[in-house]
Amino acid sequence: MRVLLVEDDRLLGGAVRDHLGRLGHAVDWMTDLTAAGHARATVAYDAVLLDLNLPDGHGLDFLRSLRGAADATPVIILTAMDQLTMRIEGLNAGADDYLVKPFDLDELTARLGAVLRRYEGRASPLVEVGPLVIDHGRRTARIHGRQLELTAREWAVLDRLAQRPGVLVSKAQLEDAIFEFGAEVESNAVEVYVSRLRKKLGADLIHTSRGLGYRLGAD
Amino acid sequence: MPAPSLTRRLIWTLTVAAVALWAVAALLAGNVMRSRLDQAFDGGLKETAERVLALAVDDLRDDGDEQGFRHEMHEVPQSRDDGNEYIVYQVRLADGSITLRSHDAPDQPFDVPLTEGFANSGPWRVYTIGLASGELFIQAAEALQHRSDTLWSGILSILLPVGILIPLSALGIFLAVRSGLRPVRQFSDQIGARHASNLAPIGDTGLPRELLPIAHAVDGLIGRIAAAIEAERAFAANSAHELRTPVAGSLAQTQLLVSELADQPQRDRARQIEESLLRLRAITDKLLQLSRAEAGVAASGKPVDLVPALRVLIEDVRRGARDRDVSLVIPEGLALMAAIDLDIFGIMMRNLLENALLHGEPPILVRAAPGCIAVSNGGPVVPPATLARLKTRFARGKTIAPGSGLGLAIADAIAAQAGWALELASPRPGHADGFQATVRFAAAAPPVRP
Repeated sequence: MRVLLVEDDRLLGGAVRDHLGRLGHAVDWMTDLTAAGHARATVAYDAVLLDLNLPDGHGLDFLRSLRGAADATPVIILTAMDQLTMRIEGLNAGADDYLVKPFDLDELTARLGAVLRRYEGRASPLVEVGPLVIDHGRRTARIHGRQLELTAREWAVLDRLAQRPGVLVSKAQLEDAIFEFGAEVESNAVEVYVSRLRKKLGADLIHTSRGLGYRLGAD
Repeated sequence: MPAPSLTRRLIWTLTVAAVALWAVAALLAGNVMRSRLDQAFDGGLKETAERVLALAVDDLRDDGDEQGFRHEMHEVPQSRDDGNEYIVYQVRLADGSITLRSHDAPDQPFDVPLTEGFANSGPWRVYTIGLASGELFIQAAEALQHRSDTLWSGILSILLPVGILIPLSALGIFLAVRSGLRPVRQFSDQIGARHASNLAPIGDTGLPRELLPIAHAVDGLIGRIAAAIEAERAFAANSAHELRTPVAGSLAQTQLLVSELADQPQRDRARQIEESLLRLRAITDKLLQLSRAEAGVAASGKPVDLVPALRVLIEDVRRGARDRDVSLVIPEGLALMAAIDLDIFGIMMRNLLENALLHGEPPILVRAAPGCIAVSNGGPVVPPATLARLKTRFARGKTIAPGSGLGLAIADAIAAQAGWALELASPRPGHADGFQATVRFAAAAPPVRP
């Protein structure tokens, strides 16, 4: 999926970007609110990771403008401010979760997964599509009970398709979900990953609608 | 030694001064009275002598021959038997012998020459007057003692009211000082009402002019204290940020390195770095919390409802402790109003919850009731000796969990700052095992709902 990371600390921002990138997410890392605003206007993100003390303003102002524009993108605040009042203020401003630095990278992944599941209305991290069982919590997929070996990009494509099984996802949306800004995207990259996935899942789970996109379904 | 009393000093000084002034006034009055009395008594003495001389001449002439006065002494009987005479007299012949004397007059002649005028003789004041022929003299005398008795009774009657004046003036001064010092007491009450969370200036409303410099000085001091506390709060918050961000970066990079190194031999080294960073994180967290807890900012002037704060805290702990059984029981409609700084309350509750998560076993239960919040957990019973030590810094129970040993000490410091009580119990009430930490506080009145 596509994640917007707003963090001005080089060391932390780099680690979070690389960590989420290794898990197959496309992370756009912005170090100030102006750049974050531009990125948000350009791409529909699946989640925003937001620092509070930023060089050109306060993260909560960005969050309020997001919610003010009826943008319901899940937002997790990452901050060194651990005061309870700040936490309450952040949640009141529309944050979905509040993680205090320093945090474990695994903790961040888990919280991110939990927030996304809440958005998709799934209490369980498991998604079942016919014989395919996707575990978002453990980031694993099984078909007929057999564990699938997936690369990060393949996982990202499957993850995006499994967000709303049966719903058509365009090629551009898939590209958005798996490639961050500045990544070298081959024109047939999505087709390549989809065909690799089909080899592992079986041909009848990912359906192609020519010129429109792809959908995941057991029918 | 007790502090010197302004009232007592005022009463003493003013009373002594009043008495001294009164005494001086009485002395001056006595002096004037004495000279006036002398004049009056002398006048009386002279008048009496003149009157008696005329009577004596007639009397003696009737008794004696035409040529002279009789020489044997007569005593004039006392007319009424009602005490001593004030004025006595002797009628003397030219040779000095007494021919007539009043009843109380001495039978020896006064040791005063027979010349007209006043003279003092022993205890007597004597006035002498004679016939122009020089045959007969009268000496009227009055006891000096009588004069001084009169004078003293006059002076005493002036001094007597002082006896009433002393207690009356002491009472008056006491009342005046008490009412005069009322603004001072109110002022000191106002200063006493100031604490870390109420540093509003006192201002000069209703203060007497004499106290204004103190009020201004106190307001200046309050201003500086408020600035210092604000700086301390800002410092604690800022240093939290300044310390946490680099630790967060290093920790994240190290964890990334650990996962990238896969099974290479350097992975263990990276793990060690990660572990010490985690320890550093725990220690900086606790030290910052402790410094905030001891900054003396726990008590807050304005009561806040703790229930929403508790819900946020529990929700956060639940997310962090995924599989752990953490539940919150709050009676329907309960508002936990208390005068405490919410951030400091958050630190206290977080420490109690972390203590339960780290050292206890499920179920972890947070129960709130008016004036009390209890955090209980399962697990083995903590021996009483250990329980008694748990609130001291760096004390740890019999545990292998990597706690900082500061959690309960911080919670206790905060409870003390806010005037709350932290009670530890093991086993938890109603069970044979586990541990319970209870904070008790004075519930503030819930806000008035329209």
